[in-house]
Amino acid sequence: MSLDPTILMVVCLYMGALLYLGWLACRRTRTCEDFYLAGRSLGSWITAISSTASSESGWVVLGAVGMVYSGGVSALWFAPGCLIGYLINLYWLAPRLRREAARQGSLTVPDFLADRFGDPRHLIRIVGVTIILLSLGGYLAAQMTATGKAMDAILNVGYVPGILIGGVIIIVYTLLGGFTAVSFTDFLQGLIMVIALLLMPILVLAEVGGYDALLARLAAIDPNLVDLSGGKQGFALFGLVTGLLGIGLGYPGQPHVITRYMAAASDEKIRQTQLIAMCWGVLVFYGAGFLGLGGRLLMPELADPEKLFPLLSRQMLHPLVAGVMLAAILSAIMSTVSSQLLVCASAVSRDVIGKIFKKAQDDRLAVLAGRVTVAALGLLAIGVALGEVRVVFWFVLFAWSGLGAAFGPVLLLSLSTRLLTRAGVVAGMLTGFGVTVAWKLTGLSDRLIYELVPAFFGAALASVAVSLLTSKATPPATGASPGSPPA
Amino acid sequence: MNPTPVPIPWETHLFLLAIPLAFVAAAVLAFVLGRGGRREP
Repeated sequence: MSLDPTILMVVCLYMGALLYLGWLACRRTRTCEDFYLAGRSLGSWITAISSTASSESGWVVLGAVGMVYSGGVSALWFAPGCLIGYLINLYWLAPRLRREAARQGSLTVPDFLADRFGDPRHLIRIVGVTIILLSLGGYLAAQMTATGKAMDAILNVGYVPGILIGGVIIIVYTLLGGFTAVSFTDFLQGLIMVIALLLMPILVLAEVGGYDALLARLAAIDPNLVDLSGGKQGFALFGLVTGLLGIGLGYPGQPHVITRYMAAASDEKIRQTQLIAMCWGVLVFYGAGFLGLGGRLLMPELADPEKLFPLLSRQMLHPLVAGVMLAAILSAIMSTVSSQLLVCASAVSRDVIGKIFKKAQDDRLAVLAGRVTVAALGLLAIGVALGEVRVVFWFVLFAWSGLGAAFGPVLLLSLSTRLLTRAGVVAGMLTGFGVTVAWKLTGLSDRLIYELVPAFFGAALASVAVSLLTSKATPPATGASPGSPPA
Repeated sequence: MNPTPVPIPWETHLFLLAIPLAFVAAAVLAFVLGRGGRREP
């Protein structure tokens, strides 16, 4: 497909805006706390939209749309699953984590757990950082692959130049402005995503004749497309529903998402964040769903349903608007890449270099170490992405499960009870990650149930059991009280 | 002649319309009820 110059102009403007925001953020980045947490000064709109944009990668605009296109209404079980994850994150985790992280002076997730439980031998940090790098390293490379695919599909520049252009822009704005740049750019990207996933489904619904006509025409093709079970029965149906609902269990354990709550300026900002983020989530998830359903009628013979969004945009819209829609796809991917890149870099520079090796202690050196790590890890991810191409959706779900099961249960329990001990936290993280990998490698994810469900509850059980066994030998959490400010 | 339309199950409408609205309503309610609540020390 030939490239329209208007689309090229819009996408170039979007890239330029990202670099400009990176430069603006660079001027506000002086201290270590600025680089890793934007000086704990984020407002509610930035916290809400940047956190949600970074959690929803290319799989919402490409993978989820394609999944609903193929599976019909039954594939939309992912939407309530994700929204339940939002509820847990926003109403349970966010207020407690923000308050306690500020009180302890923690900048990263391993930092928070190590400060809370005491970590003289750096065991919590080493296990936490290893899991982050193993999970997010793969996730990052997969997202770089998605960046290359999207750049190629939109600009016709080829896969390799696509990865290089997109990847270098992400690295530059992330290393310049750190957390502030990532939050600002994620905010812009989140806005573009929600506009696109509101506009496109409305246009598609109008094109197919409205809501009733959409369902009637889908049912005429195959009644299973409008059935919640999708024609499945018994254990197959149980596996489908728990698997898609189970995606939501991953949200409380994603370091690149929950650090955004740690950076919020106040409790009031978190309260506003809750409302904004829930509305954003509903619009984006159900927008992607209706787009997939309508796309099935408008483009019934697609070989690759994941290309529905870009193809429909080009077919239905003026090039100027289509350019914005295509920028939304890049936004979804790039917002996740930059957030993950910063979390990986902070794990290395803050937790390993700063805390374990006690190097780069002053602010200037700490920020420099952060920037160098961003550049090194970003280039490494580009190198891995250039070597191998994978299906984005499943690779992301695997990394999603590993992080969700390793960090989610221990964070939720440590912020809600005084039960956990240092050994319990380590056991929970190792069990969550270990069960995820074992479940996936043995094929149980495909034959039985999505790996995150057993891994999450296994990790919760292991952390409680080991904490109970070690509670007499190890002092409890050093935090003053679970989930509440100190007296 | 048009084929007989396939009936759409009521739970499909519930799933596509009522559940998303319920999430938004719950968030609005929590926001309104939480107003004037806990303040930082």
